[in-house]
Amino acid sequence: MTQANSTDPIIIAQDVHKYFGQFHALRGVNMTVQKGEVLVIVGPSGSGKSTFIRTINRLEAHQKGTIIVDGIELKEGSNLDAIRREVGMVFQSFNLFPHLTVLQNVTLAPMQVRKMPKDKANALGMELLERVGISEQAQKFPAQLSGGQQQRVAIARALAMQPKVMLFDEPTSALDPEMVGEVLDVMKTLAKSGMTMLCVTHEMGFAKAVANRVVFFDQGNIVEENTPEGFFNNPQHERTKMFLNQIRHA
Amino acid sequence: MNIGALSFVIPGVGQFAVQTLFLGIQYLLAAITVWLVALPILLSGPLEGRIIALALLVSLHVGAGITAIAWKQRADGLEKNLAKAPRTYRLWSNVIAGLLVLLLVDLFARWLLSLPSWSAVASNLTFILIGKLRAPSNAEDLWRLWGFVPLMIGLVVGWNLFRAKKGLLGLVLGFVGVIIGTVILWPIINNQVLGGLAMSVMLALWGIVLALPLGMLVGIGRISEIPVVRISSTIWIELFRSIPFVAVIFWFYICLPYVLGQGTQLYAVVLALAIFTSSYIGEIVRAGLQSLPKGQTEASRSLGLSGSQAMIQVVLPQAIQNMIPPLVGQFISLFKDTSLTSIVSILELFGAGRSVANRLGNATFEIYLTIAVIYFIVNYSLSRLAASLEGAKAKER
Ligand SMILES: Nc1ncnc2c1ncn2[C@@H]1O[C@H](COP(=O)(O)OP(=O)(O)O)[C@@H](O)[C@H]1O
Ligand SMILES: [Mg+2]
Repeated sequence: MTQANSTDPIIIAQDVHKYFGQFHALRGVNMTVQKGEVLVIVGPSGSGKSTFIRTINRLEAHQKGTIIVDGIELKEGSNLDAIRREVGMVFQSFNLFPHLTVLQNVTLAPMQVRKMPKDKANALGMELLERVGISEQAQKFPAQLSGGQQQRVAIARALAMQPKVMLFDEPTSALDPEMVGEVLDVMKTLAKSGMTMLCVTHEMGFAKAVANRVVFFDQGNIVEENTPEGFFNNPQHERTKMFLNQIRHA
Repeated sequence: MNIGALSFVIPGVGQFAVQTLFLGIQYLLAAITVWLVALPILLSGPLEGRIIALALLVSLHVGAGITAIAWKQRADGLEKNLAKAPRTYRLWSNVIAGLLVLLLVDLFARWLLSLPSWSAVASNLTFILIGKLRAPSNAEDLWRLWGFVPLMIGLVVGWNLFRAKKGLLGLVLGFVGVIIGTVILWPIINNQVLGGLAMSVMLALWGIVLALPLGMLVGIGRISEIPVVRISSTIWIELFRSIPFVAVIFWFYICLPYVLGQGTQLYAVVLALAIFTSSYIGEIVRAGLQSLPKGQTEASRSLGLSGSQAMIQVVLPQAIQNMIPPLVGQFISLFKDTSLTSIVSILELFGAGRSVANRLGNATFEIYLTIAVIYFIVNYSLSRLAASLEGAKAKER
């Protein structure tokens, strides 16, 4: 397990509220994430997990409370592109760019945003594809890859911006069971390299292997925060116990 | 002796005898129609008419007989292949119907050719194609029509490069072609000189060159997050889609010369075409953009791409695929819409045709038929061209 530096927060969320019209999706979430920490977020469907991690790169704007990422507060008028550069995101449905090759998917952002020259971007892209184990597919189009391979490309694509934080929103739940392992392996390696990670995932094995903390969401707020061992073996709250029973018997 | 053979003599009777009542009625009615049409032609028609009529009558009787015999054999259980009788019927009914149509087409074509005024059409054809440019006084400017070549090559090549993801190169090449072509054509772009089909093509090409970027702009603007941009784009699109095109033309034709000065009526008309078409292209663009899953933009933004970078690098290249077919349709529509500019006395294809028809007085039908055929040829080739470009594109993938 990575030892998090407990005096150096990179994400601070205080009393975060989010409304979709009348619907109160986040109800005063408080969370502090230290540099290098790996956080696993679990919770029933519709509890606001996606909404919360999407507020951290402001794909969703929150209406009340403060979120500070790497010293920059997320609010109307702040430099969102600058924050998004520091925060990589991996989606449940991959969201690769189907009209670009695998390599172009990875090099697009460094070339467009960081204005990296093409050969340098290609070298970086190949290095990252090597790291996620699919460099030999670099010239193919996403549609020609399996789901697991596509998700690994998506991870490489996010890493290409050299982010300080990585957000994962159920990265393995759209995958066939035999492909889950290859994606989790990449994520574990990343965690061990010291990356700060927020992962929405119900993969207990992953949580036990690399997470520093597990956070349980229900009805738009955090109900329980615990170490992985504590969370899975000795949950404190009734709702946590019920939830764990459900996913164990699923 | 098979009783169906009666139909060799009177079509339908054999079918009645074999108790295929429906076929009997059909053959009887066909026989009456065919004899009514064919007999007069057989007696006094032109040579090829007589031949077709004879073939028609023969196949009517032979077909009716063979069909009735086939059904009889099927009814008697002599023919084990049950599909054979219906197949025989289908074959012969197609032959008879085909020959009847051929005979009617022949009659129609003869009638068309016999119209008195084709020579008048022929002598005015160059006017219908290029307008007053055909006049001897304009002879030294005739070569300028070659300007259409770079214009069209520029557009087709530019468009293809644009599609082949060499977007900027395509746009530049297309634009260079249009500019070179227009520079060559410029001295004759004038309602007193250019006219007819050439004018229509000119109006449509410039219309689309201006309407495409304009339409892109309002189409993207319509889904912008900035309220001013979104609202003004929406007003633009809804306004020009709700006003009849003729009104837009009038409006521009009358108002614009006050701003741009006299003699700018033609530009006003081009602008009207472009703006009117841009509102429809705007809707095509919006639909194309919104057909993409939201995840594409979200992934782009989460990588730090700005809104316009996401649009140019990720959304547009994919959305354009979905926009091509309706855009081609819109261009064809635009070409037809140019005919409405004749209402402010632009002598484009339709206007030129109408002026010839009015002047001659006795060739109205022939003139308008000629014009319809020209419109059809141009638009049909356009849609075929677009389809074959699409097909080539699809094979590449
Ligand atoms: N764009 C949206 N518009 C309206 N309601 C939404 C939107 N996105 C999410 N919600 C609602 O917010 C709640 C939380 O959603 P989400 O964060 O996706 O849950 P989770 O990821 O935990 O399953 C759900 O009830 C969902 O229906
Ligand atoms: Mg979710």
